[in-house]
Amino acid sequence: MTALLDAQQISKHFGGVQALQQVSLQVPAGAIIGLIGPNGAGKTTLFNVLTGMVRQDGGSILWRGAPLPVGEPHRVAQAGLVRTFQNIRLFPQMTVLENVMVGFHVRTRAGVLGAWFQSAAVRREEQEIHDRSHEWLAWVGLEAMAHREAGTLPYGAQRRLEMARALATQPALLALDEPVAGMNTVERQSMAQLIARIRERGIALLIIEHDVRWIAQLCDRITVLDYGRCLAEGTPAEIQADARVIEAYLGHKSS
Amino acid sequence: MTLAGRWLVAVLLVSCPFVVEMWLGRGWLRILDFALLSVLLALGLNIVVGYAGLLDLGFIAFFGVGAYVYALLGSPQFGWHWPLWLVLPLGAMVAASFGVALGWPTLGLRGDYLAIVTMGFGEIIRIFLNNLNAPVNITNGPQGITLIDPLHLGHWSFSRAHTILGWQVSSLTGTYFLFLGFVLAAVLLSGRLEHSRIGRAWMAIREDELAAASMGLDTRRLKLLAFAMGACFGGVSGGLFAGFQGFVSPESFTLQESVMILCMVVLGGMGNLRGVVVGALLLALLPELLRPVGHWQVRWLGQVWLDPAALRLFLFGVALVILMRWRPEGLFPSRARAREWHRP
Repeated sequence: MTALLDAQQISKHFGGVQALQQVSLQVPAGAIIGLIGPNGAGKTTLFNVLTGMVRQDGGSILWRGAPLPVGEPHRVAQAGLVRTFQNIRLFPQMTVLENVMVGFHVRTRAGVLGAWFQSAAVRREEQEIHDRSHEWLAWVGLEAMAHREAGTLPYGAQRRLEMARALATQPALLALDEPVAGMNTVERQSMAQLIARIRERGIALLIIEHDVRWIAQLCDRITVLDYGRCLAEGTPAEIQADARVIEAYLGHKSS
Repeated sequence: MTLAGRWLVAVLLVSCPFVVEMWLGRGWLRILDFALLSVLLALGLNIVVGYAGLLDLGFIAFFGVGAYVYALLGSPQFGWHWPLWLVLPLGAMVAASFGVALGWPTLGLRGDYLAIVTMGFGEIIRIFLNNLNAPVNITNGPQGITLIDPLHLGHWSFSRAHTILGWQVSSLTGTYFLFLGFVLAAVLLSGRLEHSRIGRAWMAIREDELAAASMGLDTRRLKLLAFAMGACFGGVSGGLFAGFQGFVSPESFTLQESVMILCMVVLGGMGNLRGVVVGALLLALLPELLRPVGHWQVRWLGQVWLDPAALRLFLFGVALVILMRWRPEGLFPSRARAREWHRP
């Protein structure tokens, strides 16, 4: 069976810095894949390449067996691969509801003429965007805040909103960049539950995270990056026992 | 707005030209007609600046393009006399294509950089209009185009008085209603865009372009659409201006005018339709209200101490500064702008 996302031998350098060196990564449909590694290992760069925001120097990215558009983030999102950002990027001065409604843009059609003449089809579509946005907000537990300005939400709620907005685009693969950074244990557990519920809907996830234990309880497989290279790949148990990974994280055991 | 409020506004709008003409005279009605064209222009710029967040300092160019399309197709310049219903949409389309031509090379630019390029674009258009009289005379250069066909629909001319149901309706009043119709249509269309899928997408781009792209929004297309749509409104306004004034020349389309329209949008409240309309009316009427400063000096001080023209501009500037000092977000800001300026 071909993977949903199949990135082969991705390389990327910025000036003299080799951010990624022949990194390969597969995400099967419906799976949760973890991407871990120390700071500066190239995790976010890999995300940027996969989602079309940065052009790779070498390597190919296949999406359902066909090449993914390069350098065009909106077409990647249209294909069904949508991401969140490490430093949350909402539309801060739009309401929570409007943020999610923007997520529906890619799966809806109404244009300028539709907006002007308000045909029955357009009004129905708009109503549906509205209703389903409310549904997503309820699903991530933000319904009570629907009419607040997105930028005024507490941090954890902003993370959830960013995910709800991404889910509204109906992705097949949701890529989360450090979804629990800066959260306490309780918030981490509730985020883990949310991620599990997303997977139950048949959506695959690719998750960057530092906390190995947290990601291990969620993932099917983990890829470890270090200095832009793929250090190890395997099941959570294998990764947690891998001597190279322990070394990369904790340094040499001095005897 | 309540139903009663709507009726009140409707009655005011309908009675306005008659009252103005009777009490203030034809001069003021003419000023009011021009003010309506400014409103139309400001509504166009509001789409570009207020909705999509693209700072455009050369917007008057589209007004100029619309005006010259009308002037060239309805004057003795080439001996063509195309009808209004054909020329106006054509002017809007030509202006829209200029909007795309401006938008295309500037897609990667934002903020001040975009402002500078658009400013240059505005000047380029004006200079072209100024110089396209040789080797082939198209625009008649700095002399401009005269004897432009007055606004008319079929046999109904807006440059003549008509008698409707026993009422004498002057040409300026007729023109007022024509322009009012366009303004109301522009308000309606803008409002519907604002609350549509497209409007939301523009605002998302304004807020965070990268996040918008990562949600699947084709930011390039949407930005070009904003430029084209704004230019469209500008082109229609320009066509009406040419037909109303009967004369166009490049000096009506200077940077000063672009800045003025931007002031209207900013002063009223970017992204808020009511604000933009009020801002445009205020700024279009204020210089006229300040016109008698010479008389005031004679009456109160005995003689003219300060050059009236300079004083008038000075007072205008002072008014703007005061307003921007106390209400930087504009008179009727959109939700977002109000909070931007008054953080708790």
